[in-house]
Amino acid sequence: MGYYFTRSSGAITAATTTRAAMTLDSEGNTVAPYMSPPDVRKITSLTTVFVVDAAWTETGNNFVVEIRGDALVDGVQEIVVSSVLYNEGAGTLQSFAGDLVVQAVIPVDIDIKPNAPIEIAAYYVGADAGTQFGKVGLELE
Amino acid sequence: MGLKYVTRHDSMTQATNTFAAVDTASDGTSPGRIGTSGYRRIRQIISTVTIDGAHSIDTGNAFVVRLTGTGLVHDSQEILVGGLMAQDQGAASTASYMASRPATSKYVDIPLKSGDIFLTAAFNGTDPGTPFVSITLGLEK
Repeated sequence: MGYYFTRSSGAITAATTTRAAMTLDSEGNTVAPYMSPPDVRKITSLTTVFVVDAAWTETGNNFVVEIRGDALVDGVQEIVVSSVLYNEGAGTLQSFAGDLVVQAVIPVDIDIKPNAPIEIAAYYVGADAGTQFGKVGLELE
Repeated sequence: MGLKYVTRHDSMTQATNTFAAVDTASDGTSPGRIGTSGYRRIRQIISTVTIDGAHSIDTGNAFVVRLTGTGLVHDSQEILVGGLMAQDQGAASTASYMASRPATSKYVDIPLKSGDIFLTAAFNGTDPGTPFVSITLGLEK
């Protein structure tokens, strides 16, 4: 039996390599860390979407999810989940670029304890793209 | 038994066919080598590549990560982790492009002993600018 929950960072305006706590629920409310249910022992997958949510310049980022909290048997876990990039031609720009962003589904095998908090955060690495936005879902078993 | 996920990143400013260290943490610090004490196997490698600035036109690259160190039972190992390409028609193109990709997850079976792992990465093909690579290792106890 699986449990699924999501958390969001809201707008990530911090500099590169700066930890962004993911403490928002899907209605935009700031919430406490997720408490693992009494019958779970593992996180079995991450599902994530990371995008740039404002005008951005020619750059690229890789995104990392950090999972920590008393529920984590082996301490802090860090997993790279996706990348973005944007590039421009050399002429005076008259263009538009869009993308259908496929969610990343990353299988993992992370031991957790029941009835304990799970905290999620994210990092991006690479030159600052402006204002990133991320959402992370965990599957617990 | 669950895995311990450890992540390293680096901007790749070196020339083509040249390995350089991938030893920066998500918070920008330089922890360097990954200790293998207490772990017996690498079970999973998760990776993503982007480009961290202007993408040189008419280039294509494949990226490989090399694992070395005293913690590897079978010496050096190499894993392909992705590619990049860019094409431009005309010297002053007024187009742009944008892309997002999930990280790729590969299950592996790389035996470990007590010691350390050092990650380096290289790309083949014409230098595309400044690629950025992120690697997560899933270590099994």
